[in-house]
Amino acid sequence: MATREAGKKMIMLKSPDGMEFEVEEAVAMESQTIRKMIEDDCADTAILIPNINSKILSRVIEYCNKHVPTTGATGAAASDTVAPAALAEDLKIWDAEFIKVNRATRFNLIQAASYLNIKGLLDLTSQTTIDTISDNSLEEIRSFLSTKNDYLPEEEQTIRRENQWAFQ
Amino acid sequence: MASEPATLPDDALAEVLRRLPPHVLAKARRVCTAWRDAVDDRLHASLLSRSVRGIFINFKGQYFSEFFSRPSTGPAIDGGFDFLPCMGVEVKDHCDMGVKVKDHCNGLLLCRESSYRALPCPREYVVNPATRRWARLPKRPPPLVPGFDHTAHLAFEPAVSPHYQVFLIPRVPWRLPSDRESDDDDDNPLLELEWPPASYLVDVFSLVTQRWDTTTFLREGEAAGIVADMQLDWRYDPSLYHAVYWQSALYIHCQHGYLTRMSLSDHSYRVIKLPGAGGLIVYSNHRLGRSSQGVYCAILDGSKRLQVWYLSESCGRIEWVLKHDTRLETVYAQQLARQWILQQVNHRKEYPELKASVDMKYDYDWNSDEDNVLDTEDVVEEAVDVIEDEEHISYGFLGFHPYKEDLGSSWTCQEYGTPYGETGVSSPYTPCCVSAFPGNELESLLLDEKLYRNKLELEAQLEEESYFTYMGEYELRKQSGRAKRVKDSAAKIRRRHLIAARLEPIITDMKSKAIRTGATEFNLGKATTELVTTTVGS
Repeated sequence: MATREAGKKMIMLKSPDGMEFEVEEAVAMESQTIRKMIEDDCADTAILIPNINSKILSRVIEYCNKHVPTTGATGAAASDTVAPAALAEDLKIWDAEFIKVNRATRFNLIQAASYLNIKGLLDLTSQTTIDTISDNSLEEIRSFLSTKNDYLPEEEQTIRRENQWAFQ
Repeated sequence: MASEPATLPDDALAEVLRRLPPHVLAKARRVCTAWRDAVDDRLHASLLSRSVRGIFINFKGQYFSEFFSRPSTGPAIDGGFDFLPCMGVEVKDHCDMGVKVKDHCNGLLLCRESSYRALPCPREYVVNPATRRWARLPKRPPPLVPGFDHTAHLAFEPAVSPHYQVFLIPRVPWRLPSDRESDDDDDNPLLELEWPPASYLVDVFSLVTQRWDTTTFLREGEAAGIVADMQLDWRYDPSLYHAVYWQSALYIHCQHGYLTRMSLSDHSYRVIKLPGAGGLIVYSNHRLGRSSQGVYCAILDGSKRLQVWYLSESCGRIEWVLKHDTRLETVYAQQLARQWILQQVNHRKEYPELKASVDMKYDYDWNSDEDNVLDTEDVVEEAVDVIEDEEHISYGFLGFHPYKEDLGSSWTCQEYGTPYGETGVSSPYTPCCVSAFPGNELESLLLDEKLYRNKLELEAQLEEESYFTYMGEYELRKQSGRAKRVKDSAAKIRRRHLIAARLEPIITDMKSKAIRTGATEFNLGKATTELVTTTVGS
């Protein structure tokens, strides 16, 4: 396995459509799922990431690259001593840009973040959905998320009764 | 790339929904069946904590409630409420005041100062031990019917709203006040009154308004009797009467073998006779409680016979259904692999240097969902001392498991087998981790408390001195003046909270409007003007 720099171990991630991504161990370990694999020594060869296609996986890696703690990162800004506040602000802007994707991509990202267990990415990607649910009526939520009301009339009656005390 | 997915896979969906506050989660259940299933299967714990972390028990003759906790890997629950300002480390061994748990509702506790002497106005707190946050209630108003008692009960449903309410329910005292000194008060006109009255006046404290307001509940159906009947409960002790909050209704155990079901949504109430109550009831050994399906009532008699009734409310008919009728069999908690831990609150308060087991971390959880004892036919007893003579042991019913209906998930205890003797109120405690808990005035209270203590000390000092020095009196006046100023500033803070609470719905309303119209910003100034106009308009 290629080692770019001494002390920087590289990990090979494989998507089901055959693409391979070589990332630093520290970056891959942003994912708690991969961290566990590495810690359990199941990561000698390439790690296959099921259910996540290469397009989404590359975006996830992009996110992890950006969010890996700067101490070990090889990012351009790492050597400069940037104030932590400014860095956080910078990261926020970057996040906002990162999440400007269509809904399908966002859902795929949520799914990937959930499988790979990357808390920050999950928080970021689910925020829009959470806001939508919190601030809108049931019909609006359904239309936003293209979900259909699949309750049978009697089921709907039941659930409304169950929740009645919650919405008076 | 796949076409647009209509829904998220279950795991991911659960992850998203997990981030919602409980009352929004309740709404999300109605979106579609997949969401309902995700909530019900994976997230019910977020709606309500399902684990019982312990039981608070008040023992007669103790200043503090004892906490029987269960081992857990979660954050330690401090049964001694050391975080309350009046309960700090300064509690001296001769201090004769404590705090007792009076009611529990979905993770919040209603606590009241207790002492051997009658306190002029004991402070009351609403406490969340899981988050260690609390708020002090304003002083109770005097009873609405002069001379009557009242008991306070909490109503809190985190899945509905982050606000709690406290109800002061009037009760007939054992002896009515009479003008004359003679002990014959049979001709007191009050005795002939219907009870509870057709319009039942109840003082309610609401977190939103931050004050006690009188609310009228109108009776549907018959009264339980007249005031004189209520006095037949000769063992009247308000602490024996529990209340249960279930789906917007408060079920209050009252004297003379009945309960009132107070509907908080339409301010009506009805009287429901307790089960197994035939003829005159001289005293009540009924114990109300809440479990998975709703309201239950346990009756435990002297011969260890235990009956459990369920209050069925389907199709508008209210009736008691007998669920269990059994005799207690002795199973000692020690024989089960896991045990309860007595936090020894009273002992700890007396000897503060003994740091007891509160902060201990355990490497296993006692998950109440996995209680093995539930499979057995027996009721668990926490027998701490084994008393040989079975005949003379008296048992008390401690409470129901909040989310399990089985008989095995209720608790009884030997009244005299526990280390402190006879039990009073007991509340199985389920933590609630709702972080928002408005109304904390920690700083002002701490200051208040400190100044009060300074004043007491100074007074004591002055008493000891054989004569009053001018300097001493000057100091005393200075202290009380400062105490008053602090009190005023606390009132100011409270007023500010009140305004904020009233602004909140307007702001949320504006926020949602702003989102709908696509605007991204709104300002507080506008909200304030809107509030001003509404106040002016109304």
